[in-house]
Amino acid sequence: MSAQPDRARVDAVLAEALELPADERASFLDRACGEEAGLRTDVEELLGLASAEDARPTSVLDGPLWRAWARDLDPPTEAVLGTRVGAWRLVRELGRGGMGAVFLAERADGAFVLTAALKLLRTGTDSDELLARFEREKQILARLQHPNVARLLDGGADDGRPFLVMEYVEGRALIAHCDEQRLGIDERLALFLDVGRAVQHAHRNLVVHRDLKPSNIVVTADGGVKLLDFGIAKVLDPDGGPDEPRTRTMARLLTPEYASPEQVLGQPITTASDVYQLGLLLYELLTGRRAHRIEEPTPTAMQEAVCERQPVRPSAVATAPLSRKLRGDLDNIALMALRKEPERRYASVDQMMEDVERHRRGLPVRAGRDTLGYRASKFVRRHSAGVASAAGFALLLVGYAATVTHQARERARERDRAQLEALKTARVRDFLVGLFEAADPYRTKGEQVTAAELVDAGARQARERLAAEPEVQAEMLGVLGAALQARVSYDRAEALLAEALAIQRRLHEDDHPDLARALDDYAGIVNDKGHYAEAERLAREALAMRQRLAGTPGVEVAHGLERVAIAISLQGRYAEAERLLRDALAIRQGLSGAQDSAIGEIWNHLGVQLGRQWRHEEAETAHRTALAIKRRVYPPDHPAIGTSLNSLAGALGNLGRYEEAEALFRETLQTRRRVFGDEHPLVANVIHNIGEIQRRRGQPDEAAVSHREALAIRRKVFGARQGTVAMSLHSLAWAMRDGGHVAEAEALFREALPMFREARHWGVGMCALSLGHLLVSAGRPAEAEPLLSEALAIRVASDGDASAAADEARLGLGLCRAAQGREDEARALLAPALERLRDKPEVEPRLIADAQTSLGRLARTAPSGTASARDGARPH
Amino acid sequence: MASLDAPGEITRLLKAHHAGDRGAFDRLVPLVYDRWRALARIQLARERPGQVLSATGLVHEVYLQLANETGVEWRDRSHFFAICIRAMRRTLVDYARRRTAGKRGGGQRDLTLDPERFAVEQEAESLLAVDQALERLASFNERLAQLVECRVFAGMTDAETAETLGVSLRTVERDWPRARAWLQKELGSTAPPGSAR
Repeated sequence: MSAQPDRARVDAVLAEALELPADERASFLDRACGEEAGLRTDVEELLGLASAEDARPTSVLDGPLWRAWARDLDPPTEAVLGTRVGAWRLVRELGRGGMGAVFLAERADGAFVLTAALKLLRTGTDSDELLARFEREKQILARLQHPNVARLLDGGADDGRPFLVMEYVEGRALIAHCDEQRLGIDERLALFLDVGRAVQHAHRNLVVHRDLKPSNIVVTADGGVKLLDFGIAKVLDPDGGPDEPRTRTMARLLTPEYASPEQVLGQPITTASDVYQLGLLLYELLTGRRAHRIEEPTPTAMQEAVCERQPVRPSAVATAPLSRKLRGDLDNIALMALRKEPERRYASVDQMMEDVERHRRGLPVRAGRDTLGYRASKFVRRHSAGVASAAGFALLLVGYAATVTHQARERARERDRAQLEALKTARVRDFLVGLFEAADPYRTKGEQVTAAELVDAGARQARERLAAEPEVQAEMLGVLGAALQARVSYDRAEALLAEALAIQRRLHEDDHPDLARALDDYAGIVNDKGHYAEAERLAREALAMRQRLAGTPGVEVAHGLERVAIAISLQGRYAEAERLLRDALAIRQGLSGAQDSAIGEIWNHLGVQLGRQWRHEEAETAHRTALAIKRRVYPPDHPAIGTSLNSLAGALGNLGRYEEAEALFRETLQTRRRVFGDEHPLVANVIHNIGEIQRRRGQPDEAAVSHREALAIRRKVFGARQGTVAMSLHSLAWAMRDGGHVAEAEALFREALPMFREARHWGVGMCALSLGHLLVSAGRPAEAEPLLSEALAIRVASDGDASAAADEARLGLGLCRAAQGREDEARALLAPALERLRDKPEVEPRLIADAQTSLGRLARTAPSGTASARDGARPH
Repeated sequence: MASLDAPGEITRLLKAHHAGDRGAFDRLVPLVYDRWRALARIQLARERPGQVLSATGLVHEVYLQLANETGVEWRDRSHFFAICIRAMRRTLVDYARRRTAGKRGGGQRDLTLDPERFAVEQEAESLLAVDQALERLASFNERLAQLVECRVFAGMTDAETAETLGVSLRTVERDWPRARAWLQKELGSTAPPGSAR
């Protein structure tokens, strides 16, 4: 471009052109500009700009800049000194900050002599909201009484202007004090511990500081530490309303170098944020430098520095002699507190302070390796002298905490929910870790605390201390209930899970994932206690809720299907259970992520349903599939592998492969005893199965011993009346009968039958058949008849008319009819059933034998040449 | 402050300005500016929370106060407003310079993540650009520059602008597209001032 045209001239031409109608402008410009291309270009550009639609500039007045200017104009100090604010008179100005001016104030009502620091807050657009928030927080803050915390004395609004009155503290800022006094590492750590103890105290009172930074920490003339502005950040936080307990825009109050990653990212603020800020403080106390340097004054740079960049090890920024002292423990302690992910920091301030103390005493610190699992494993190792089940217990709790975290993430579609979940998870985790530590022999001076005591203490604390946080309380009770369930303390587990469910029902009138989970957990314990119909009802309620909540069926729905399937399987509806399990399998196979262990578990359940439907080859395949998956997923000793081994052995036994089966059972038994100890229901299950095999192999006395052992364990664990106890009684009865103790056998059957009925257990039909068969053999067919009719009806209903189970019952009833002399009926029942049951080793062998004998006898009295007679004469 | 703000000085300068002394106007602005700030602070101290300090209210208040003290007549009101608007411009431009100082080194402590502060800094930057563009516009057409000033720094309507500048409403309406076009050209951008927020 050549010489710039004179702008006054451009403007004159432009003004004239603008006066003309649009279609005359071109010819006007031809004349006015002549050969001056530059002039014409400029005018045309301006004409274009002038005719742009609605480009009306807005006034800067009342925009952000204006508002900021107005806010920065504090009322002149001289105008307020000597005036009253509430019950206080302003004496002199102490300073000014982002939120307003701070004054030295004294009681103006003369009630008593007291000076204090009065913070006169800048009026903003949200002061009504601020006052409401203040009222909510005031009582909590007033409860904070600790020598290292400057107390909140008063607060309110004077003529609409909010103010806070705090204990007046005279002293030096912490860092400045340390530098001026030339304090060494140990003296600095001592001051840091004082700060930490004050924060600990606040956390126990459910107050998070949220804005810990050196300028909020003062050292008084007597060398004591005082924390200022405790919890004030929450009061001043505009987003800290009751429905959104944590903040997003805390940031506006923060000095960026002291913000935690979750504050920068607008995530929930918890005690973990204070841990982080203590980490920053420790870093600065040790090195004289801030952990983060923020190069550029932009949100992006800040996010990068705080949320992404790892701080340099303190020892790497300190000078040589100091560096050696920081290397190792202190590096690790500071960096552990400064981890980006809140859940990977110290779980509590207590832990961090303990590490600092350990370091000072020359003891090893926990910082260094970083997972919760690591800590749990250490915990377990320290308890290695204790029972093995304690390890199982610890692992379960840790696993559960991880699951809660995972589920919290999975469910977190809405931001608020995610925040609440994260908060809840963090609180549950803190609580759990606290419990572990209470039981740590390191702290209890070697005194062993049993897992049960731990859980009891946890439940008590959850009831007492979490009353104000029902969500967390319910979660906690649920966790403890699940722990007790795994420890087979069923009654206590049920009480806790029922309590958790009741809280969730109170909290949620409509569908809610937490309510569904509580229902599901409770259904699990009700099922374990043997109330299968009730368990089914609860599990179905949970499942329906999850189906309504889920857009496409996911993990939760699959889990719900599994829960219902187990409850109905135990009521004898195997085919229905099989269908539900196959649905669950299809859902899990369609999901991404680690579903293997769950899929292995489904195959296992499927195998059980198939076995109950006498489809033993399919069952064997299912169990082998489950086993293959589990062996891939779990370590060799894992209980889940034992479950599948046990089930596979059962299938082999039902296929008549007794030796293979017994070998597998014995392998399982060994592992389970090692993992669970001698008195666990899973151990009883294996012993029971070994007893079954022994009986099938013609060893009734050995079988009786096994069944008595399993029975004893089950009675101890479940109490007298429960489905599996009845199963043991039933099997023991058969062993006794085989051993020739018919009277004892009858008594045992008669004891078992009502227990099965009460539990609505699938064993009702089986036990009625067994007892009926015994009675027929004893020559009491009249007594047997109603039992055997019932057994057949039950099996037809549950397994189908053409099922092997129904045919087995037909054998019983046929024998009865034969004994009653109703020979045609007997033949009609026995012959086709026996034909169909050929080569089915799982059918009670004595029934088969008796049926064959009976049919042979009938054949001799019947007209020759009937099909029944021929079939009945098959060789043994 | 009291001596600078002496009503006598303001009165004298006003009269000089009235008499056509162009320099008087420039000397008046800082005096009005100080008065303005003082008034704003006092008003803020009285203010009920939740209210936003009103710029237009302040302009009127300063006018009434000074009119009272100096006995300026009604017909001089428009001049007075012009002074006030200039004072306002001075105020905000100074403030914008302070707020953006951090970006030119120093002032790091002031930095926050607050989106509102971010908006303030954005607006401050664009305001400084507008201020410079206005300077250039004033160099060849002062009336157009004043027109923009009335709108941007005093939020005036066309009618108020016409009265303040002592021109007809029709002139304001006709001049406005031209002033806006120049401003945008000088800004080297299509973004009108104030649009940053």
